[in-house]
Amino acid sequence: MISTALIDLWNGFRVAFEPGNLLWCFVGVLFGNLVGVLPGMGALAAISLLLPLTFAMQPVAAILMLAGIYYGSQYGGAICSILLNLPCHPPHAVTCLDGYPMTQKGRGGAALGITMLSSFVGASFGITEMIFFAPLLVSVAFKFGAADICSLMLLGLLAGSTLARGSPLKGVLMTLLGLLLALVGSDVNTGQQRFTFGLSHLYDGVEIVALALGVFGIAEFLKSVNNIAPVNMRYASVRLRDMRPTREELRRALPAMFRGTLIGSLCALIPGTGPTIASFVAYATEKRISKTPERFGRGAVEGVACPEAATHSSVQGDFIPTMTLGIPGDAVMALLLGALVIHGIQPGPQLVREHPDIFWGLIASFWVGNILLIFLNVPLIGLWVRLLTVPYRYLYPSALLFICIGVFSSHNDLFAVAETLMIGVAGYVLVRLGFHPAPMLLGFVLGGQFEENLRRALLLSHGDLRTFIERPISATFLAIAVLLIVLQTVLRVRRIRSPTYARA
Amino acid sequence: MRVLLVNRDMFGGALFVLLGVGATALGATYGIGSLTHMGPGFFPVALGAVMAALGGVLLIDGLQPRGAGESEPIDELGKTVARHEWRGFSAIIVGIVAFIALGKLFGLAPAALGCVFISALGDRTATVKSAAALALVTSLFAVGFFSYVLGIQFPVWQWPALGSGP
Repeated sequence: MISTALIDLWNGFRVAFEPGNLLWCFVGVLFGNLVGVLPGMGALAAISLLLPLTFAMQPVAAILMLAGIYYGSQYGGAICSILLNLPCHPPHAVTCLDGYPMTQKGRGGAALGITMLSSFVGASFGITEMIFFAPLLVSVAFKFGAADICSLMLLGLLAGSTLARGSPLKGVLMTLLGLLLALVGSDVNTGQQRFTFGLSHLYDGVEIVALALGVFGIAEFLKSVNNIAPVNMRYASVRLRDMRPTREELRRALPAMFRGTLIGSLCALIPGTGPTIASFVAYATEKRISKTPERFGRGAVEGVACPEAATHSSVQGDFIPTMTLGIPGDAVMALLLGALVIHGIQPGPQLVREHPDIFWGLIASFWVGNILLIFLNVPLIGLWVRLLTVPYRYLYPSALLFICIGVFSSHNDLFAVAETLMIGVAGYVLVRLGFHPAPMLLGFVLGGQFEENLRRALLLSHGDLRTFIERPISATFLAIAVLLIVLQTVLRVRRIRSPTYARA
Repeated sequence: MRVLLVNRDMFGGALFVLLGVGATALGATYGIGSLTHMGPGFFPVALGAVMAALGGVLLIDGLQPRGAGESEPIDELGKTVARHEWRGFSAIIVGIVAFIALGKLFGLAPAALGCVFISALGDRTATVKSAAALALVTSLFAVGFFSYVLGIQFPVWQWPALGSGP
């Protein structure tokens, strides 16, 4: 099995090195890196912006580019967090804790160097994990029936909505909203129009680009306009030779890096846990096992290496459940899944067999892309730092225009722009009420399949709900889901009882 | 601050109760079917019911008094969200509406100019001059890229003719 995996991987490299694909991968990582650096923009905005452009592309090139944007923006986001203390992307919130103090001590360059090294180590391990685990998971996944898939999706949705930051209850509500939004349009089985309110534009359902750009674009701008603090560039001058860490820093960082990698890859295997959770768990673990926990938060190099490695190994590993089971780990994966579906490719166990070029090409391109990123980041660090100074007042109007045109071009229809505006305003209201939009996207992407599998499972069991607990695979997933809810409830009750836990 | 939080959860909970009840009511008209043969209304009704129930839990939860620590509105990065920004809001929303209206009537170029110009005015430090300059540069780039490089189906300029256009 491993030998076939290696042969497939070799073919994957051939796909990734095709000039067209290589070019798009490069465009993706460059754009991702660029957007990741810009304050107030993240991977989600970047991917949704370029999503309409990929409709005309080959599916392989499209997915390579979109994936490139994702991990490219992770690299870019680290620069922002370390030099400016601005976490542009949630997983980097913990990188700030020690990265910025290092910058203040004049070791910002070294922190960036360590970050790049950690990212590469983490990513490489994540990719390796994908090569060996994905085929294994696929062979298991072929045994899944409709009821099992249903329970797995339920588990993924629950984990995705309750493990993210913020109130679990609100996360679940947003997931339900996403599932509901997925139902808009014609019912596949009967052709019945659902929730279209007589608008013929909605017969095909809510446009995923409109949804993503509404909540991650327009709602974001509404939240950030005039609320972005002026950037403090006091420490943000980094030269190439500053990036070399000292021997002492390396000695401390290397073991942390490997621990982070392990944590990240474990988190990646659980559906619904994305890089944000991985980085928080990694930081907490590193601090707990450290002999000198008091150094954390004051520029401990381990505090940068461990979460960064975890983030990147989890970013790569997250592709495993997304591609092989069709269950995305977070909102970014949900978007990528949506992109695949737009290109007529149904992710799931059959993907590896039916589209080996996409699957293995993607894996190979991860490596190519990560190496490209190292080459991009080392010489261009000065340019990235200068990009940090682009004021938000230039950024958001331009991004708004690209959103409008991008949404328009998905169907050549101005209705989609109005749809995006509506979703954006509604999304902003929800954000202000403390609801995070990410679980909604997860629900939206899985909604159609969830209903379809539920329908099929109940048809096969003649309406007997016991099928979900009688099938061992399904029962296992449901048991984990129940455990998850019970654990969360217990933790919540404990937190309410003891005020010291309130901010943990 | 305590009052604010209570309002937030109450409001959010009430919103979802309404959404859930609405979805259930509307879904019921689509035909529920049976467990064996789920109709198009089955899933919406089920979702709506769960949503309304959980929204109710949130609503009740919001009524409970709570410590000040959790009461600040924070975003996903844990930063405190600042107050409403009416100038920015109206500029962004009017900017998009302008894009739709101008795009429908005159084509992409005026739509792009209008959209960027109006939304740029939403920033407190922006002047008419700076917004106009930004609009010009961005629109030139966008029209060049989307119309001439990618060739999207959107006329750059057209005379308004009622009933036509994209």
